Amino acid sequence: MVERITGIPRDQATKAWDAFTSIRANGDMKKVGSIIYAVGWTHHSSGTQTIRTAAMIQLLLGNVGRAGGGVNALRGHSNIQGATDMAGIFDSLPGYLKMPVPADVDLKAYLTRITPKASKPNEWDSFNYWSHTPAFAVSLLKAMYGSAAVKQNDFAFNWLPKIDRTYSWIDIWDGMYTGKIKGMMAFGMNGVMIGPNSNKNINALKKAEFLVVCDIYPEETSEFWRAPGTTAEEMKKIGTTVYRLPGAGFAEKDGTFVNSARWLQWKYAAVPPPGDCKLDQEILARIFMKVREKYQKDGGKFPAPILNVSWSYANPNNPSLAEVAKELNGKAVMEVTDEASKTTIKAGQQLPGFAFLRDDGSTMSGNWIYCGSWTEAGALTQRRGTEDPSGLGVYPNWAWSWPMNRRVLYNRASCDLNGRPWDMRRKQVWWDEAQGKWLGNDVPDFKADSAPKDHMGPFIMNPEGVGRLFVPLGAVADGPFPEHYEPTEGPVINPLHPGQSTNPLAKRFKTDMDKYGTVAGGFNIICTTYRLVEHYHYWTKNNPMNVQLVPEPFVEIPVELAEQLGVRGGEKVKVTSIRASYIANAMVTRRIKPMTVDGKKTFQIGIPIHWGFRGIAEDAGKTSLNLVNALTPTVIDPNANTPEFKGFLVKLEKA
Amino acid sequence: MSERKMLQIQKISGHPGPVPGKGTQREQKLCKLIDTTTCIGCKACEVACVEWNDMPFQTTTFDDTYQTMPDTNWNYWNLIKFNETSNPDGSFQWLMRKHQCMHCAEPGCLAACPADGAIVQYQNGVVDFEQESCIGCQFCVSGCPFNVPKFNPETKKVYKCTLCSDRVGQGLEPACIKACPTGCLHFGTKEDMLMLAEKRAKQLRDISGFRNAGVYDPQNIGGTTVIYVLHDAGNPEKYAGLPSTPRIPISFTVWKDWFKPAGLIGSVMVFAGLILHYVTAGPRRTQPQPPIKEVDGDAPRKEN
Repeated sequence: MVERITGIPRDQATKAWDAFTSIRANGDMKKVGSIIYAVGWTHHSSGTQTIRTAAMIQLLLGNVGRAGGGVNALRGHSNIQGATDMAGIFDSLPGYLKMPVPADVDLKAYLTRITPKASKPNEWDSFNYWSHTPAFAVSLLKAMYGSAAVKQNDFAFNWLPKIDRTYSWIDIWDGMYTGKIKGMMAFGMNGVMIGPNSNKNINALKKAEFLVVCDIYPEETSEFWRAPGTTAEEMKKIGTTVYRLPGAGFAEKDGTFVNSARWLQWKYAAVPPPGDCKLDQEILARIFMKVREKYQKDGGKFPAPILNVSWSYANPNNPSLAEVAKELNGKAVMEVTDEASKTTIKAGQQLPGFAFLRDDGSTMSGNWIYCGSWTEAGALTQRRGTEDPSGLGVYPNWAWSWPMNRRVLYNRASCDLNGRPWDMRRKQVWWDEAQGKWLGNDVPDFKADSAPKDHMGPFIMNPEGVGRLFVPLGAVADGPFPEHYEPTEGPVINPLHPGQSTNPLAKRFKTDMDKYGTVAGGFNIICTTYRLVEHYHYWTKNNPMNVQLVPEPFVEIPVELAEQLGVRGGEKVKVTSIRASYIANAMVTRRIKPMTVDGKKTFQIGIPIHWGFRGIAEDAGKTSLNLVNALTPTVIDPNANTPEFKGFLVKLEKA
Repeated sequence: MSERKMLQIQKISGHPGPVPGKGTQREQKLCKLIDTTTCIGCKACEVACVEWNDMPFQTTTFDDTYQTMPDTNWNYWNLIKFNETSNPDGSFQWLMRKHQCMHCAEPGCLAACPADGAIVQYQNGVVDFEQESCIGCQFCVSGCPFNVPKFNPETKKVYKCTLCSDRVGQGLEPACIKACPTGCLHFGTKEDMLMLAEKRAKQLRDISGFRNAGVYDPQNIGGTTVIYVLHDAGNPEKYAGLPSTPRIPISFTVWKDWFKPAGLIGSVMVFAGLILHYVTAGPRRTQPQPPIKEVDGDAPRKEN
């Protein structure tokens, strides 16, 4: 069945599975296997289920909590982890606190809803660390509203926005296209290029009242109004006001990048921004100060959340990122004492860690998971110690990783039931009976004094304390167990259950520009999109060095398909999905082979995403000025709301 | 250049008499190890080379391959060559080989060069071109078994990888080594690198199933300062025409090893060398710009 669905010959699939699972041959627990994936795994209408499957395999093999194990995402940007930690997504607050919803009438209702209760399976005890949610949430409110957040006003809980629906990336563009969203501020986000269904995004911007773009290059989003094919007549009818702000590049800014291993690494500005260009924080602060000024002068429907924001920076028009980083770590508002360590932190001092956070307003912290990164000892994110005493690659003094400088999460799982490391030669943490606590080469990710005989589960963030093979409480929208679904535009009917071929919960959109192709409709080739190592998204098409490395857009085509169509390498081909066409050079290759899927010979082609209608090759007239993401469908995974960039249907012809 | 004074010269092109200062100080032989089996073809080394050596950009065009350009150039000394290979068992391999000057122990370029001091070999193994002494005759181009030196028609000089002798002279690693994100590039003494390479080749043979894995360090030219680990050391040609047995055209070895010791000097010498070269080797590889597709397997990627 796997061979029928995936097209991977049975013997090859078995060989790969056998190799991976061989680490546990004869019950040996010493070896560790890692699953490393590029985010393409998530670019499917059931992407979350794929990642879940990887997590389940690692749990079953005992590869979680161990150095060299885990499920590791290779992210597409240097700071995606930081963006997620800091709530760069619509449904969370910093530190993965859940976003309030209209039903959360007050702080108590909100905290009751979002604080999980321990649910202990028979013989296991559960730490349920999220039980401290009230301390994290109140400390966040104190960071946001300072002295205006007091017990009497629920620590200003009702000043937080409450979300009533999904505001994911594609929903935003759909909302703009259907007239529900009036404008957009795009900082370093080339939304037209990112897609999916770029032409819908271009048309959405035509309907917007305003668009603010902060980028360092002239790019497709701020120039949507002159996308190829737009006539002069059409341009006159576009009423969108476009503002371009003079942004700064990454090497002109300081601050932290957070990598996939959760290290917060401080970086210094290499050069100042040129000319009138400004740092992001100055641009945002100036906009905020103006908005607040207007509220002060004119009032408004709901001025309190704007007027009471804590904004105590040395220069309110240009906060330093050091000030912001210290605020994220948090400090004591009143004196606090940690009973376990008998440590007292005086009012005004930086907090040494989130164990000090309180739900009574005596502490503030902009992001509880970053608490401990900038203490009274200074910015731990700036550390560059290269010593590795254990030889395990822990490097405890290089930068700082959340939570509390732990380098491997759930590292209690690197030991057996008795707290003895599975591999005595590579000890991460262990139970020390004499001292009555956990010790380690890494910081133990566990209740420090919980003896193994107490049977506390290692997965301290789950209310059950154990790993989740079965996901309870509807935490995953499309079911407690993963299931195979074909892409929304799939080449075959799902052989597992033809009656429900695709993910029933994948979200499709309904405007006139949201169309979905079928094989019966003539779209008989699978298309996928990807990035090249030589280019960085939609920026480096402006950099001569990267352009020299890979100068022009192309479509990778299997030799067999090229022969069938009479296409030779270097000739132009036209790729057409139900939404748009794309013309570029053919790269004929043996790297992409035809597959036999459900008994049918099936071709796949691949297109790198980097070229648009502005850039060195584009401006020199060397490309067809079309966008790859004009081809891709508006359909999203029901959990992460990630678009299905990695599998859709097209037809291919000589251009 | 002051930093180059820290390097001890071993051989000089077209130079009468002994090498100045020879034997005063013994330097370790250096070595760059390229493990083709862990190269991902990201070209970070190409970028590092262009940037460190401050070379002007050139326009490239799409050529049905990931390879940046058909061959190295006077302003592009380091090129990943991409090769799609089908194995006898039907499996597929995408081979990537970082192509650059090999810094041979017996450098064909140096043997061929008639200009005093235009090509020097340091005791640490680096073979360097001194453009101020270059007369633009391009004999080095013909003398190289790896098709490395490239002529700049504007300056009338020949250029190639210097093994970053300016960095190495200051105790730094070459720029490409520093840029490599996978660690497939290593730099150290020849002895250490050979040991590392053999260890890796053994691992490939014993564990990874590459029975013919081995180290490329051709002995007929005395070994090279740049060595490779190959999945298939028995067939280096499939890595974009890496020669199993690199040969320096006989005209140059004859010139260097027979006629010169015999005391023939000056213009007669050059003339004889020229004639011999044309008689024995023909006009092979004397073009300043190499042809885009060559028949000897140097052309990028596919076998059709």
